[in-house]
Amino acid sequence: MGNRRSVSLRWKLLLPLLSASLVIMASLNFVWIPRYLETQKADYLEEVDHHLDSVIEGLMPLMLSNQIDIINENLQELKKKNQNWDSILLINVRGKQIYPPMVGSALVIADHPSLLTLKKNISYLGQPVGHLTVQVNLTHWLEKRNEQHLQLIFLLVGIIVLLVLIWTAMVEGIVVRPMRRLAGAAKALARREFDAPLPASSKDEVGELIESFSTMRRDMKVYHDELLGEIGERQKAEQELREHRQHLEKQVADRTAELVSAKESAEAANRAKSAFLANMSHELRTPLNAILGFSDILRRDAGLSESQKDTLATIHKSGDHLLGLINDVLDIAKIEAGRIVLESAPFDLGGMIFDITDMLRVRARDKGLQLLVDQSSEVPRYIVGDEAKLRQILINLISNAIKATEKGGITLRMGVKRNKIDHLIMEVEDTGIGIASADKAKVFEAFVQVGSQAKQQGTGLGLAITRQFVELMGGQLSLTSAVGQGSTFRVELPVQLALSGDIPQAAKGRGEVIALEPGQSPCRVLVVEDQLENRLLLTRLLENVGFEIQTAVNGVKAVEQFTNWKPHFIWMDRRMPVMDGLEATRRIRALPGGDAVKIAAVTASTFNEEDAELTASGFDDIVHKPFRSEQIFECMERLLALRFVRVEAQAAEEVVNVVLTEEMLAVLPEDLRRELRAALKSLESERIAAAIGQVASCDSKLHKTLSHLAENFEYPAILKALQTN
Amino acid sequence: MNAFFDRVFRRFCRRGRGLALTACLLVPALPVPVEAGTSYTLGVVPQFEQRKLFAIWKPVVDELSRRAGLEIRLVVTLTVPEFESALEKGSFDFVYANPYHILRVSDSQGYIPLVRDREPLRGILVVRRDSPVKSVEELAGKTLAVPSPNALGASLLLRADLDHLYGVHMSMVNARTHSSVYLNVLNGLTDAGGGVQKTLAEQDAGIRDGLRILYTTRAMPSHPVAAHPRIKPDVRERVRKAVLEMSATPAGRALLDEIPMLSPVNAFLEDYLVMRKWGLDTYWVDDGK
Repeated sequence: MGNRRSVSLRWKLLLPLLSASLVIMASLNFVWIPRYLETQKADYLEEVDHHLDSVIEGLMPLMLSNQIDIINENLQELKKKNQNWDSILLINVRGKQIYPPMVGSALVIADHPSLLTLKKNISYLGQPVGHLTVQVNLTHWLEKRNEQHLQLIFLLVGIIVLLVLIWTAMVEGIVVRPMRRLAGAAKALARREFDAPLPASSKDEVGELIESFSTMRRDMKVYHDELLGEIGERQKAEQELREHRQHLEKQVADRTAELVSAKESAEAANRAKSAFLANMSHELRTPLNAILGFSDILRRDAGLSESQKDTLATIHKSGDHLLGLINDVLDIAKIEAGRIVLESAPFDLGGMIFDITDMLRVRARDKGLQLLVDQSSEVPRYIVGDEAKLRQILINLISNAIKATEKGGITLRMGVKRNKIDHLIMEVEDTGIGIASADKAKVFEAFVQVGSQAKQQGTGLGLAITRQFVELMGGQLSLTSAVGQGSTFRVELPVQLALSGDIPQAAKGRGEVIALEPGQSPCRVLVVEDQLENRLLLTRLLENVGFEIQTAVNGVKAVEQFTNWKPHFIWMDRRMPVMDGLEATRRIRALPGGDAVKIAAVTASTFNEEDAELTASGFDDIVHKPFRSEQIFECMERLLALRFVRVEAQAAEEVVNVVLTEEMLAVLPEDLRRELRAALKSLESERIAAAIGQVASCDSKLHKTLSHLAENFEYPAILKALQTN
Repeated sequence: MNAFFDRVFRRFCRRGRGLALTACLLVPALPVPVEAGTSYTLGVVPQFEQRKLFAIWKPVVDELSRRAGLEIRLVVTLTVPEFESALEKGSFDFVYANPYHILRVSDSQGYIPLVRDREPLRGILVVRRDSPVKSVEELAGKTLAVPSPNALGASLLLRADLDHLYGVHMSMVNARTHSSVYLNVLNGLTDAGGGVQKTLAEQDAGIRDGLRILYTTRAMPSHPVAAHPRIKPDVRERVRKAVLEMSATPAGRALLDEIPMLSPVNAFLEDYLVMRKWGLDTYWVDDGK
């Protein structure tokens, strides 16, 4: 780049010189020389002319005296001396040739561009004597002139070359070389090199430039040094700062480590608590499974008296209630342990609301309360979310409202708040006792019951769980309340819409399993359970239907039994002494034929991650304790492709509307109403059943409703409906 | 320009007119008789153009001086009439002239012939080789170039023969020299020319071949080198001896060939007396003009 620039500068300075030289040379060669040649030629010819005049003067007397030999000698000499006189011809007045001697061929005056013919008349005293013709050959003369001109041009070219060389050397020495060194120094300066050598300063513009550059560079160096010093100081300060920061970071890290260890110990404590709760729930749910299971089996015994059935129903109901309480405790424990996992699946929101209100309206009725649903048309029918938890939220809030209200009613308001993300608004308003503002915060705390509510039933976990669930779903739960004015719980949840097509077809309500369909090959089922009650429960349930059953009390026994008996299906408890269900399953799967057998787990655990562990160990399915008999049969039906004989549970199907209104009872005769009231008050099941039996003759639908309510011990609801009349 | 003219002038002087001038300057010195034993003059008839004449005679005279142990100067006149008048005055100590001249002045000056060429002299009548003239008679009334009206072979004898033998008269043109005569004829300036065999033989081959001899006169003794009677006999003898000795050496012979005097022999006045009977006087032109 620098090289190219310097070359260009050199050429720029040389070009005018060369151009001028070229112009001079051209004008010399094409203008001056031809003109000069013409002039010279004219001069030359004039000279020859004068010469001839003199010659004629000399010839005249000789011609007059016929001295041809002297003329001959003279002209011969003349011709010899003037080599470029090609021919000389002297003619006398009579036209006779005097010279040259007519020897050989006659002289011919040729015509040629380079031959110039001069013809001079000779006269004496005005009388013509003859004429002299001289043919001058200019070739030689021209050659000589051209040679001279060529020499001149060579001389000029030489001078120009010399000039160019001198000029180049001067430009090189005075401008280009110093400039190049200056450029080099400037480039070095760009690299922060301040001591690149500068060209010697001359007393001209270049010198001034070099001087200026030198001064500038000196100033820049001073500035640069100052800057370097400053940078050094800053770096030092930064270094100190960095050290300080590192120190701080170390402190923070230490603190963090301490906190982490504290957190870890806290988490360990929490895990211990969760483990304890899990164990507890297992321990509690296992006996409960037996209670509920056996009461269920007993209920099917046709030989029971009504009184026994009622007792059994009470046991079942109490067990159910206990299960609810335990579930609440487990939920809160899971929330605290952070082990709640949100499901996300499309479901039928409208259907769910209908089910819940339908179910809870009965309880409201029992207390003489009205449950109203105020649903905006904007509320979507199908949404994506955790159906179970949303159901629990609504049930908790509405149940809570029913509990807190003695008079008036409960309203469920459903709406949608349109925003960037649509929010589902659910308000549960009651006309109950209300909550003092001081207690509002406490309402949502676990294991706390507020004020006069102490007399109320429950663990006090409901609202805490509800709030946790709402927040887990990304929503908000708020409370507006005044003592004596009732309360309004408001839930706002972000909502994601779903289409009806996304909803899986709900399992159709099917009848109760009573036997294996005949014609199927016998099916061997191994029940592995350490606890006697549960082992008996499963054994009894399956034997009644027609399976071949064997049992094992732990994993080791199970593996042995599998090897000896080759069952088609294994019900495996998770927790067992000696060898647990996971290990036993892994071993069975490793045995020959072990991958063909279907193995389902029966577990009291409610933690989702444990389910994953079971699936990974080789279980085909999982059934949670306490289970319903239908879950057991459905599981086997699916895994083994069995077919069962079922009886349609019509009553349960038909009682769609369990809400009992006064108008419905108004159709009954007064006697029957009185008897019914009395029977209900006596709490004698048989009497109540008999009274309800009489209703069948009047209104079969009402009979079914009443039967359902009675079976569910909703006596207060019936009494309330009767009382108003 | 002046310089140029000057140069041209000088160059011109060197050539033709210069020589003439030189010759003119020499002439006034001739009438003074040279004292014997000091310096002698040798006058030569201007048969040729001056430069040629000098070129031929100067070496001969120098050699003659050396051999004879005499101081001999060459003297040349510009024209034949001048020579004739100088001869009649006896201006030259020694002379080379045509025999008729010697004869004409023998009474007044009495030049004594010393040596002559053995070969006789013959006059000739020449025309251009391609001339349509076949006989002498055809030339009647035509122009005849002669070296000099009184030249013996080329003019007097020739004209006398033409007159006597053929009755032919031609108008005479004085061409001044033999060479001029030949060139006049060659270039057709005159119809014919009178010369002698010896001078024609000396011309360049080109000129010689361009001419044709139409008529040749009878022979006559060649030009002698003669001495004035005032020259002492021993000096005369020394000169005669010197010429004869010269012809004995190749170098001397070469010099003499140019005159031409191919083989010199002793000459006597008696050799030439026969010419008095030829009636040449009739054709003599006195003033030479």
